[in-house]
Amino acid sequence: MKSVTEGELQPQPFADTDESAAPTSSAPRRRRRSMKMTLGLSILAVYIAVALLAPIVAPYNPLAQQIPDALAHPGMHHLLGTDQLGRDVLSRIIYGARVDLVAATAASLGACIIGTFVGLLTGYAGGWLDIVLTRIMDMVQTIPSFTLLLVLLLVLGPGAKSLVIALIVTHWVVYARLIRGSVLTLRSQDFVAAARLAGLRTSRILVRHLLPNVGRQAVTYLASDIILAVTAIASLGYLGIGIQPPTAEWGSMINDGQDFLSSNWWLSVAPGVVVVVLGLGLALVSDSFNERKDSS
Amino acid sequence: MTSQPSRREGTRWQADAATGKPLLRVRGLSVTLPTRRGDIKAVDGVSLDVMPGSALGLVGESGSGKSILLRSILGLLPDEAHVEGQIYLEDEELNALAPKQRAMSRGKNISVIFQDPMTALNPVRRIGAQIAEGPIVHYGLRRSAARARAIELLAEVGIPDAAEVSRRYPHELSGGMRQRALIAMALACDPKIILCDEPTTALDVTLQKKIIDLLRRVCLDRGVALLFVSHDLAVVSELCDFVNVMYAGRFVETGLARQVISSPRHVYTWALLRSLPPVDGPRVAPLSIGGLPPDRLHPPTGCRFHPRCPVAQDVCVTLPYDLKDVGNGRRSACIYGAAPLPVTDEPGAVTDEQSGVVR
Amino acid sequence: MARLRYVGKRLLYVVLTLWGVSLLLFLLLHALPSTPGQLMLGEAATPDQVVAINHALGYDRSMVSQYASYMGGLLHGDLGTSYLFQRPVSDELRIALPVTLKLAVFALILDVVVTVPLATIAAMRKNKPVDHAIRAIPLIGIGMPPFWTGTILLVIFAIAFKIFPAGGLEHGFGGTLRSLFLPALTQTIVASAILTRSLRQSILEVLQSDYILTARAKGVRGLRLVVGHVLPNAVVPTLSLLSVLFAGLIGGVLITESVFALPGIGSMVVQAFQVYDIPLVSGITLVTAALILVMNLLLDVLYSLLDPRVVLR
Repeated sequence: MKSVTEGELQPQPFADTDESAAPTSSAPRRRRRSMKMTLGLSILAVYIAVALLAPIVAPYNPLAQQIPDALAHPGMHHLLGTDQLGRDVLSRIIYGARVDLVAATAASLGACIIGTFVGLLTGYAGGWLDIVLTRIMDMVQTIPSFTLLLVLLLVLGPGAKSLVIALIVTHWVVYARLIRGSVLTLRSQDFVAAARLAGLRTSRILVRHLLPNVGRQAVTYLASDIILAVTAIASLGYLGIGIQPPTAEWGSMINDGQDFLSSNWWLSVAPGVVVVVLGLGLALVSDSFNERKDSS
Repeated sequence: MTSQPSRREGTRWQADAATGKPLLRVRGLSVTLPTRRGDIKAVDGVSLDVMPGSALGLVGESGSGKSILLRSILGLLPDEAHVEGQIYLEDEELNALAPKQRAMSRGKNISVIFQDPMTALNPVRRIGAQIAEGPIVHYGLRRSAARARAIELLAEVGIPDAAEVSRRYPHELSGGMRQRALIAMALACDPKIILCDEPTTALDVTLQKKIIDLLRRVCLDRGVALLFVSHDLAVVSELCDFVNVMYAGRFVETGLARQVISSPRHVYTWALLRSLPPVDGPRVAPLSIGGLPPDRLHPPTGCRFHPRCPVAQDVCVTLPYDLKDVGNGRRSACIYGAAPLPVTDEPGAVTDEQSGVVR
Repeated sequence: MARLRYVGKRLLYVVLTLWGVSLLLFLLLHALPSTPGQLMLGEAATPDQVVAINHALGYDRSMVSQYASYMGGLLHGDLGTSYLFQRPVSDELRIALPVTLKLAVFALILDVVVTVPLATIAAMRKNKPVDHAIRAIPLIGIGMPPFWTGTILLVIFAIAFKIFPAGGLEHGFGGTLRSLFLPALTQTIVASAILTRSLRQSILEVLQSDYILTARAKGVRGLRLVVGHVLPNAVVPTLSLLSVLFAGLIGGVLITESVFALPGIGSMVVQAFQVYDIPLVSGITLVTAALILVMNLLLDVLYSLLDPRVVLR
């Protein structure tokens, strides 16, 4: 590491000017940030559009089996080829968006709402409610989400609805902790005291005054949470759990394709790429949202 | 490290002493820092000499460039800084050295004491280990020998129970002890000169006196030179043999400390002195220097102090910078430099409103 | 000494939390719509057979009495008997758990080996191309499901290039390393994406500090500066992040086992799930919870060892 330590070192010669801090609002940085946001949002828009318009966009019925055409290579008739039952891969991926994206978004939104609610309550009220709920949160977080999901799915049975519920139960805790932390910080601030002095009911204080301030954090995490939920759904699908065949789901498609890795590798790779790009879009949006919050 | 007889302030150094070779020589040093709004010349054509075993004080406001000057001597400026000029330690030209060689000279021949001892020490390493690091890196001392030396040094700087203290972490020491530990660290490799960046500014007055005495004892009395940066003239007058007064990146006055302080030859120096509350003597209200610190991006023309100078004249606006000899080994860039200044101590003689005016 | 006392207190807390988890599991699993008899015997069973099995398993007793014997069993390390294997759960775990542990440890080591250099280089060459490249990786990495990454790696390295085995666990030290490398790497790709960002930020902050300036002024440079001064201070916040992420890491490890056909508790729990083997599923869940708790404890102690200012309460 020859010149490594002769690298960036910023002395602070002038007390009033701050040359050494990275200026978050310089023009080129702002442009980069909005490029990120635009790119991210466009990616998400494409996914949402595809999911909504699946019946129109998909060339084939995702469940239609054409055994004679099985394992076709990508070509004119099937842009991404067909799987081992002759189903068109592209259509299955498109319809998969309906499953994965919708389930994940539903789960994350549910977790967000419940988690925010609990976070507001425990943060604001404190007392035994806080202690009990925090202990419960500890316990839920101690169990790796994968095993907890399995236990919950055992109880709830198979299917998309149980999956969404199980994911909500697993994911709400992070939101609750986040919001609780914010509420604890804000609770002692003046505007809350003012509201209480004015005699406002607790629920009104929570909703009108605290929620807008802490809500932003929850929404920022939502983007990361959605991709985590998609990954969870796909992982379970890969293992044959959760969304059941023959429904087109990205994870189970990857599993189906694993037997044909040497000949038809795109069967497993393509659905994964779709997930990665979705993650990229969400990460870009979440990042640029974060950066904007920092510099304001 | 030569052994010097115990010195009394100022008596070893005569005004016109051309005796001996300077230990540290800086010639025409300029440091330009690019910033968002443009280039700032933090140090503008500065030259200085430090004689072996002497103490040179660098005095100026914050933003005058004194800290940057120290860092350029050390070679610790950010990559985008542009440096011109030469720096010589004994005969070696420091800025001609490759970064690796430069780093090897740091800590060995030149070491530093920084202002805030709490942040200057690594919080997760023990004091003894931090002091011992220098000798290990520069002299290849074995750990046990280096640790022993660290304990010796801690004792020398007046820390009781040095062996026990050397095993402590920085947050477990008091402020005064931390500053002493910093001094011990600076002495660890037997440097020829120690650069001090406002080492007493963060301390209270009684502690300041102790640290100054300590510096005198373990450095000057042993022939280790000091380059002492401060905005506090009082401290500098206590400790230093010579003083250079810095304003807006340039030296405006240099000379023997006691002479500069008793009879300044630049209005800025006078104003600095006037802004100190007097310790003894008649109680006179201190005067702040009116006006704002100079714009470093577009400094004033001519004498950079002229917008704030109570006795500035028209020629000061266009005066070319020239640190002239004014006798007795002293130099001044002021038009009044050759004789005592035409300013008085009478209250009301220089008021805040007037000092912003160019007459 | 204070540290040992803290560990003692934390272990107590671990036990309490595990008790809470076991209670939670017990309640959840008794909310199942079907009885164990029905699950074990399937559709074809006659009602009598079902009742007989349920009686044999003690399922027809009251909840309280069932819970009592469950807890009693737990205290003796008895986690029940697996429906699938017809053997004590603890026996099954004893075989499978070491595999998972080895994989988890390997993954952690790989995380450190990858994250520390990447973050250091990115921080030292801030805003240069290398830095931007390293910072872009997490954007993609976060979307890569571990099981998919594992499959891709399988294709490339095990099938196409045949460097690593395509699944299963080989014997011996070398064999184990080879079998576990790709699965561990799968997990590292995700983990290091998140950790690198945090460590890089932390290093940048440390580089601005006065004590680094002092160290450089002493002449300390290069590796000695990084290892002796920068990293010990910079890793501390990232360690906190690691303890938060650890539960997710373990989850990823469990799933990856299925991709690579490793005989650890991850593969086992999937099998158990598919046949409604409640004792096995709940036993494995309990064990993974214990794993997380112990790991968090270890991380906290490590934290206090690195930063002497931390006071363990």
